[in-house]
Amino acid sequence: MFGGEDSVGFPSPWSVIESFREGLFDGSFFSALAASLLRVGYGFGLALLIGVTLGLIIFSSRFGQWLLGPLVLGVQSLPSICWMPFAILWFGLNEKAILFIVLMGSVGSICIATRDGLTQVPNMYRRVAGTFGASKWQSLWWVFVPSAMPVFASGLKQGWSFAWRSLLAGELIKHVVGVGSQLDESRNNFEYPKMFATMFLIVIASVIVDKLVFGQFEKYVRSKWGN
Amino acid sequence: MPHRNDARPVKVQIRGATKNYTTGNTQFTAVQSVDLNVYDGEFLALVGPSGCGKSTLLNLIAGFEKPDAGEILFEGKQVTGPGPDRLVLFQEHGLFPWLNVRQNVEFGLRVRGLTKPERRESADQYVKMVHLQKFSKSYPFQLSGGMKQRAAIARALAVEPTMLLMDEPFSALDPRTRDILHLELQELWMATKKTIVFVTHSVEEAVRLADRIVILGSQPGRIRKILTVPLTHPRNFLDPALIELRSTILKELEDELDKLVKKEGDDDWHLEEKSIGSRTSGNVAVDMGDGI
Repeated sequence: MFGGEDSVGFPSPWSVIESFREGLFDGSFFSALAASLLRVGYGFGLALLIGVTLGLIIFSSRFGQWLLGPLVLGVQSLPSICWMPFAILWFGLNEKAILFIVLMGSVGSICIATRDGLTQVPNMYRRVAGTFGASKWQSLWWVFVPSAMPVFASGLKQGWSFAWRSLLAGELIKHVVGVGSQLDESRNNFEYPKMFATMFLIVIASVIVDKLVFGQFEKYVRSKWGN
Repeated sequence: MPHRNDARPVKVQIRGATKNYTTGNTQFTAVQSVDLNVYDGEFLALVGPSGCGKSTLLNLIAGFEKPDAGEILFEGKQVTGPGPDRLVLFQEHGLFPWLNVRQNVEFGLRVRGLTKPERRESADQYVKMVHLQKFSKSYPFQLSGGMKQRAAIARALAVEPTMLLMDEPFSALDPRTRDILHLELQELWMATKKTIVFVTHSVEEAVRLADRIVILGSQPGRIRKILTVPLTHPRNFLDPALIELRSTILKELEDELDKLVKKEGDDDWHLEEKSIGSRTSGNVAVDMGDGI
């Protein structure tokens, strides 16, 4: 109905549901999803480490502000999958290349969220820290970090969704055990109901992680911070 | 019992302090060669119209700003930065929204490195002092404006500063709450005898609380007059002598109002009624009666 002459017909909704059920019961969906989540967790964790460090450097040093700030913004404007050719040259077509694009996809927004959160700390709080005689480190940990949390939490959520998208794009290119690869493999193997079922699986997983993990964290921060 | 200021030791010495600000291409002088002594244990109010540099003067004592000329001495030593010996209370309370009342009060004690039980004991005591025990686990957004300011006062007192710098701490509150806090602050000051420098644009507030009132003028900010309030504490806020003093100060400030009108409006704008001081003094009893 939608495709050209050499396209295949759409699978019926029932066959998609059937395929989804099958995938759940034989455990193949779970193992693919677990592998993908582990991979994205690893890449996102790395991005968190590097992004927060970079954000702190940009916030606290003139060098960071002038050089690193614009650089990170520039990198951020490049869709992460565009790093794939470079990653393949550098690491070869393997898991490391996928991790690299997950990192490149999310490190920018985490870094920018860190910087923005810290620069938006109201002057009043800095003065309160000053009048109580807080040292630089005390101010950082007890005033700047908590004050930056609401902005940081939104950035974290955005970073996560970039990481997840990058991962799926990467898995489409390099086949590994994972939901992205499962999507492309089911197309290769003419298993169209499974292809659609996998798409649903990805949507459901995205929504769950987004709402349950990052949404809850953001909600907690916002409620505790009083807005 | 009016205090003999010269007999008491000097807490803060301001000598020829000048502070300029530059906005774009224009420079303006917030305070110009101000000389002022703050004596140990006194309650000093800085009053004046907006732009007279009263907050700037406070920020200079606090160490948030450095004078362009002159010097600020605290207990004989040059002020180089902010510190808990000159604790500042802000108009916007400055409580940390992610900490509850008790944790906020503990902040200064945490900075000092007190252990958790020590902090807690001390914080509880000061939370009690400002009558917020019931709310010690509430977060700032759950409190009213007056409660927030009381929590901020407890946080300040917890580090036992010898001096408090208050920057229009009650100006964002409704008149009723302000009356209550005036009474509380008066009590606190009588009990602790801390040196207080209190910045306000409300002459009424100044005459209620202060021993000495420094009247500042604007463009550039400088001291116009220093008045000693010849009334003992605790004061009856309905005392006719207070109302009298209030209108004296307002008369003193009348031409400052005209200046302000010229600065913030067109050159041909004049105040029709030139007797704001005496006109409003009739309403004072009504205003104050509200809160008592």
